[in-house]
Amino acid sequence: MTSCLLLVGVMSCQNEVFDEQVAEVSQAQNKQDYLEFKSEEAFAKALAELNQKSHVQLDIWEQEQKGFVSLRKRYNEVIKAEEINGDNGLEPLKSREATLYARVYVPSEYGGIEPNVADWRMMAVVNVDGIVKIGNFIHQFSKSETKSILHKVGVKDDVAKLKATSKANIAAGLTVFPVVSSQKNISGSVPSVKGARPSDSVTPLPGSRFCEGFSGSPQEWRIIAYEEMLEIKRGGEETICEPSIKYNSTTGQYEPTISCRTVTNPNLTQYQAQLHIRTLKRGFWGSWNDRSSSGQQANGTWKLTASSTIVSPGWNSGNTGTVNNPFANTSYNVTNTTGETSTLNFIFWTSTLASSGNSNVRLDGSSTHNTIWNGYNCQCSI
Amino acid sequence: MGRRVVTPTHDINFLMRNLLFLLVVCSVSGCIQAVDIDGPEYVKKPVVFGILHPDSLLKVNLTWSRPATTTNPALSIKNAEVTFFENGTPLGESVDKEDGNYSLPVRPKTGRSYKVEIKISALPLITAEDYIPRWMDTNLYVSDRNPSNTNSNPDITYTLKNFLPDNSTLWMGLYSTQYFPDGWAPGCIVGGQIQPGCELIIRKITGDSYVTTASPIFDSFNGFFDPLSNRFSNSSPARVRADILADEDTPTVKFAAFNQGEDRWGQVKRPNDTRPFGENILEITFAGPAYDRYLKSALLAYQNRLTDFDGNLFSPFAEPSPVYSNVTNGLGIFGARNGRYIVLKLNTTYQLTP
Repeated sequence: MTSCLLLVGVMSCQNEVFDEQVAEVSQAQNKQDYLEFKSEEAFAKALAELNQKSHVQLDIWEQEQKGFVSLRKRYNEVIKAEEINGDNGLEPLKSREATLYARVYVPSEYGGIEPNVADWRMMAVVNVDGIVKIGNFIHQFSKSETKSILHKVGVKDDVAKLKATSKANIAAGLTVFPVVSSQKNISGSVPSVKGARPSDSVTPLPGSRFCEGFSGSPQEWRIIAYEEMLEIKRGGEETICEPSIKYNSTTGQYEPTISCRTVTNPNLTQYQAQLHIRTLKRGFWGSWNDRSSSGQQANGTWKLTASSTIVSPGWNSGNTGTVNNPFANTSYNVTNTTGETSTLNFIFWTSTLASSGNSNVRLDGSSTHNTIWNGYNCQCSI
Repeated sequence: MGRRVVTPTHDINFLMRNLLFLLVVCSVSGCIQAVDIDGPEYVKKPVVFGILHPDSLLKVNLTWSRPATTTNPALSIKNAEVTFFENGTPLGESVDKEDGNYSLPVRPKTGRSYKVEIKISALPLITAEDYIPRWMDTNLYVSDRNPSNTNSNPDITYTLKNFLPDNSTLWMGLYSTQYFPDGWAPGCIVGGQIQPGCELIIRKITGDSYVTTASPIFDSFNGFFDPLSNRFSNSSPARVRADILADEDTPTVKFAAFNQGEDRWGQVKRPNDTRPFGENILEITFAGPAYDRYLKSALLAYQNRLTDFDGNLFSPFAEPSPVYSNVTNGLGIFGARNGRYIVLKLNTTYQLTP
């Protein structure tokens, strides 16, 4: 009973201003340890605001979410432990933390590790298993797929079902979608092109370009930068607004209006255009380990291309500045303001989760990026 | 649930264990002690430095060695008698003796040995010798950008035609040019013209100039194998293994750059970048036996460091590495080389004849 009351109280708080209380840890039965967001809007707002916070601010925010341990926290612990191990000449991924929290990262094909979640902004809001509840859906996010289940009142084992399943079950309200990334789709049939440029004889897939730069003798430091266009499909609640004619009994006239309704849809898509920067140090035995710093910078221009240039129902500027028209060249010049990290993403643009309106959105091949790791003499350009 | 029963024997054992632990802690902490080890006693010695090349005059610079405790500039030796020899025949005594620099208006020839004899009063005769390698008939090819290489850099193929070993060693380095002064020097190029006071220099930074290969054709002392890219990588300059050249009549060295080139290999100019582009440069050097040993030992000494600039472990096997000297009764190096700098362009073949 106490738990139920607490849950009700928590749910009623979620429309409040984010900085005061955007999300609460569910203390309901089964000792749930994930965050709940009342709606997609609340979740999107939380992601946008948390993405502006430094790691110190995120640490404080997470401490306020009692009982909740984020994937970000464990991931950073693994990074720290691996850095210490690397400095001591030990092999990568042999630290205690790397063994304990193997779920929170995936070994990167470029060396080191990457968070086991496709949208790196989510690191702070999903738990170590990638679980978060948004509206009536419970989701499990990972780098390669998104699993969602429609939560029904009284059902207690939906999180367990979500974790256990690898296949969709429509009857059970459970969906599984692969994450589509321009770097490499789930089948691996779209390879990234190293450092390729628009004028290259090999035409790169837009949004898949990659570069790397080294310094030290022999190579000791390394920056890698790559574009990524994400398509994340999942279930959720979609707000659909349509124009209609409504009778006004006061005036006695029919008036145009827009009526909106929230629809549960198991198949929604969100697009995101971004530039990733990762910084690494080579260990004595030749392997590359993540190396945190606050010296990452990037500048350049970007724009989107799409088979349909209508981006609807909405989109947001990322953390590289305000965007007026994502299909026109936009200059950006950004510096890492989050504090020490080896895993940084600068987001240009992100769409609203929707069932239609976006079609094959990509970063245009004319986009340019100059990335610098200050203090380590590493840089590369796309 | 059982309850642990504590007996007097347990207490004694417990106390003994703790006492033993304390004793070990005290004795171990007592082992930490700063130890000063005196270095070798400073003995003032003459230092000879001269790297001969066919396009430059015979020249050496003479200074006195300095104690390790000073940062003062080295004092030049001004009253020495310096004689140069070609294949054992004296060419004459140096006529120019400014600031410790001694030269002779003679350019060394390839395929010959050069020796220097230096007389300084009250010191034994100082001598050093090296050999100027011949330039081989060679061919250089730069491909188009290759997506299978890091940063899609082009393949660079260097072929030695009718290779004749002559006791020299081949070194190769990838560098770039850039405009100086003032770093990138915005304003050095106005309307496509180089402005006065700006010059194009070759930027040789050991820390960010690399060559990478699919097979281990370069000496591994300043390189490593990267399992991620499945390629070998060496800092520039890289030393071509002698056995690679000796195995074939027409040996070929194929490699690529790791970092992006200075001009991004002819790509479009980037926005927000006011600096003019430089060029990608390949340095090809045939090193004489003494210069080869000196260069390798000097680079090895730099590689052989215990910590990096962050103070973290760089190499647990680091140890002092002496730098080679071919100077009898002195320090330094009197070496010889024969090299060329090539400005690299995509899809281009270069005939590099002797």
